Amino acid sequence: MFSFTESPRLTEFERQVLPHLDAAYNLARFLVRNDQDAEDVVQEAALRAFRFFEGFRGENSRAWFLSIVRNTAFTALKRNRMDEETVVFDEELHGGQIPPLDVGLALDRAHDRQTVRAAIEQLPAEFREAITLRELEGMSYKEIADIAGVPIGTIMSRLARARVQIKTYLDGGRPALRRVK
Amino acid sequence: MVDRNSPVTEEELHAYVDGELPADRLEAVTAWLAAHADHAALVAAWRAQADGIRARYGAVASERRRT
Repeated sequence: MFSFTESPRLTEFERQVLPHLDAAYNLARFLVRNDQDAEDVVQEAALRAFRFFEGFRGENSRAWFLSIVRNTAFTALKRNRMDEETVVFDEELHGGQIPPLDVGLALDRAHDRQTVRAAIEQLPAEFREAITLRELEGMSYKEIADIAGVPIGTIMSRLARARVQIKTYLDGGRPALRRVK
Repeated sequence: MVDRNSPVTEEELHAYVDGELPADRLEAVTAWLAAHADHAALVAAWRAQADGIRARYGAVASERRRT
């Protein structure tokens, strides 16, 4: 009944992109680490996606849209200096031996959502991205590598290191100083 | 490419957890895990951690995982 406001392009955009808004917000929220900035990122990303929608060839709309969200979020992080730490990828770690590691406790019901969120938020941005796309969105290594614009081996290394850091945090090895929001 | 007889790497354990291990390494890693109970326990811990995060925050938790 609102056909007078619609165009085929808008309808197709709504069909392809809008179902991924929750995933977009989840990713943005873990990257920029606060609600308002995440909403701004998703809104800006949606506008960009609509503007460039003609260039989308219809293969994987989720990965396409999330790559726009991630680029928008990283731009915001740089602009606002919300993320002072940067990851220097350690090539030596990739393909390295398994370090001795205490198996310790698995993540269990005792860890509430906020604790788990804090464990992810203390990671460097590139690690937060890998963890969010893998654990929350269930994306393949290939999809994550394409979105992040790095080789699959880099994603494997980031995931491995991120999981160790999350585990260390949840096992009680969290930093003594809490981040002030 | 990792030599077939080389020790298993940490990244490979995560790829195993994620179902992303190449077919030509799956057999070797599985055999290695069968002989290394400590690392088999570690793999179980990674899996539990991933599942725990997904259960709390996964937007598509009920969706079929892409393989």
